[in-house]
Amino acid sequence: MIRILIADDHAIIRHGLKQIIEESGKMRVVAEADSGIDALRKIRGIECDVVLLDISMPDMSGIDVLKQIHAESPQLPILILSIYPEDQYAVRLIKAGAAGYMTKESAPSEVVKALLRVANGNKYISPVVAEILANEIGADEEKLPHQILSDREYQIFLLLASAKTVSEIADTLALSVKTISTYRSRVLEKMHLNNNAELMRYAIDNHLEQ
Amino acid sequence: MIKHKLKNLFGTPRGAIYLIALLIMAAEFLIMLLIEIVLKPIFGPNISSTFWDFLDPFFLIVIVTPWIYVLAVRPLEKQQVMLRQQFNELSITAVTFESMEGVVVTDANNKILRVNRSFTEITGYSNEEAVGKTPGMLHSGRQDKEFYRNMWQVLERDRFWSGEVWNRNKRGDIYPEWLTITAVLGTEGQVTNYVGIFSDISERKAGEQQLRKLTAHIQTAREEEKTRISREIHDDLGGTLTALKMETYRLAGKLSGNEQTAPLLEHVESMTQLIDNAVGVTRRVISDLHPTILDDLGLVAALEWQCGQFNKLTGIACEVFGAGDKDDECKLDKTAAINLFRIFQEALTNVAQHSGATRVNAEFHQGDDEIVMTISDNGRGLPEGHVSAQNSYGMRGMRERVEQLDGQILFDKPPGGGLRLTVILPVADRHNKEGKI
Repeated sequence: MIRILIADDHAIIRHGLKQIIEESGKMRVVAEADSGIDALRKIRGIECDVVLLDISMPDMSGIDVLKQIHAESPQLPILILSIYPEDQYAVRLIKAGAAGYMTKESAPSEVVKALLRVANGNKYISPVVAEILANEIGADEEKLPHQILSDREYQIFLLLASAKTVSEIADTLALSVKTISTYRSRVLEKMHLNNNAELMRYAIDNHLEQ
Repeated sequence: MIKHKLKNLFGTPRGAIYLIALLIMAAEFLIMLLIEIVLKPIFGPNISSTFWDFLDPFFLIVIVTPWIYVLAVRPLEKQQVMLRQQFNELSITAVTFESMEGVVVTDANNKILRVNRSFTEITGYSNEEAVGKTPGMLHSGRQDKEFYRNMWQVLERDRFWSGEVWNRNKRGDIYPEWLTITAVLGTEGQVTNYVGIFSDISERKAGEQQLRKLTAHIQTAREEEKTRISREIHDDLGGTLTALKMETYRLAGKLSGNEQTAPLLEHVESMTQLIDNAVGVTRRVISDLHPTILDDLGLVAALEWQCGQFNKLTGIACEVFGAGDKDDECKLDKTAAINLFRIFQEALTNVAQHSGATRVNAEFHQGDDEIVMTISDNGRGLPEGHVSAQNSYGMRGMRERVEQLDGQILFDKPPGGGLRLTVILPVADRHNKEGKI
C-alpha cells in the first residue's frame, strides 16, 4: 500500500480525493493537513510515501511549503495539485523540487495515475508541461555570448567596453554604483569573461562599439 | 540747426515766457506805430483821446492772447492729461506691486532695490532689511549650485525663468515657492533690473501630497479588495467546483458498473464538461482580479507569466530577464510587487496600442539599495509631442504608482530605437530593519 498525505485547505476536496485514492485499491491516505504549517508538522511525524499538495493555502505560500518539505525530506515525492494553469506555475515548481504538477481540472483518474507514477520515484509530466519544457530548451543554444545579454546588460557592456568606470556609468544611467557593479559581474559571468580588459577585447574583436 | 536751438530754448516753460514777453513788446511797438502814424492822422481830430488810450490795450489783447494760448496754455493742458494718465497707470502698478504675491526688484547686479508687503509677509524680511542685499539671503540649501547656474543660464538666454524653489524665511523655516523671474531691459537692450515674483505654495504642495496619499490609499484598497474577492472565489467556488468534479467522477464510476444505468453516463460526461468550463471561467476571473502567482512565486514569475499571456494575445515577442530564478530572491513587499506588476501591465498595453513594436523586453534587478525594472521595446518611441504622451492616462497612472513608492520613472531610447521605461525604487529602510530582526 502506498501511503499518501493530502494537504488542502478544503475539507470537501480532501474528502473527495481520499475516496478516489482509496477506491484505486493501491493507496491509502494516512494523513490530511488543512494548511501549510499543518502539512509540515504531519510530514515530520507520520511516515508517508507521497505528498499531494495544494499550492495555495492560507497560511504559507505554496512554494515555501514545497521548498521546506523538499529541504527536509528530499526523497519524498511531492505532487502539486492546483487550480492554476500549468503555464503559470508548473515549470517553476518542478524546478523547486516537485515531482509533478497537475491542475484541478485534470480528470480524477489522472490524479491516481500521477500519484502511482511519482510514488515509484518518477516525475509526472503532463503533455502541457512537456510542451512548456520543450520550448524552454534550445532557445539560447546558438547565440554568441553577447547576444544572450538583456538590453540593460548589453548597454552596460557597451559602456564598460568604451572604458567607462562603474561610477561614471551609474551617473549616466541614474542608477546606483552597486546596481552597476552587480550588472557588471552578471555580464562577465554570462559571457565567461574575467575582467574589463577581456570585455574590451571581446568588444573590439566583435566590432561592438557605441 | 538754429531752428533746433530755438526750439530747445522756447520749448521749455521758461523759454515760453521769454518768447511771450518779446511778442508783447513787438506787438506793442507795432500797435503804437499803427495808431500814431496811420490811424490818428486819418481819424484823429474827430475822436477823443480816451478812445485811443483804450484801442492800444485792446489790440494788444487780441494779438497776444492766441500766442499765450498756443505757447503756454496748450502745452500745460497736454501735460496735465499726460500726468493724469501716468498717475492712473502708477496706481495700477502700485496695486499690482502690493499683490498677494511676493515681489522683489533688483538691479542688474542682483542687489535688492525694493520688495513689497507680501514679500515681507512670506519671508519675514522688511523692505529696509532686504534692500541692498541679494535674494541669496533666502537660500535654503535645498538647491545646489548647479541649480542656480542653470537658472542664470536660462535667464540670460530667455530673459525669463520660472520654477519651484525651496527658500528659508527669517525664522529659519523652509518653504516651497513658485518663482518667476523676468529681466527688465533698458533702451539699449541691456538688463537693468530683475523682477522676481513668487508665491508660497506650501498649501498647494500639502494638498498635492494629500491627494497623492489618497490616490495611493484608493489604489491599495482596490488591490486589497480585488485580492480578497479573488481569494474568496478561489477558496469557495474553486473548492466547490473541484469537489463537484470528483463527485461526478465517482458517480460515473458507479453508473458504469451497472448495465441499466450505463446510458446515464452521457449526462455525467456533459456535467463534467460544464464543470470544466466553470473552472476555466473561475480561473480567468481570479487571474484578472489578482495575479496570485505574484504572491506565490514572486514578481519575476508573474512578469514571465504576463509576458507569455501578452505574447499569445498580441504576437509581440516578449521576454523577461531577471535574477529571480535564484532561490535567494528576497521577497518584495506586497505593495511594491503589485505596483511594479501593474506598471508592467500598463507598459505592455501601451506597447500593444501605440508602439508598433515587434519585441518587448522586461528586466528586473533587485539589489541591496535599489530595485530596477526596465521595460524596453523596439517600436517607434514617444511621439513628437511626447510631453502630452507622458501625461496620458496610462503614463500618469504609472507615475502615481512610482511616486507612491518614493521611486522615479524615466523614459529614454534604448540602443537601436524604441522606448525604454525604467522604474527605480529605493529599497525601503524598513526592509533592512525587518531583515535584521
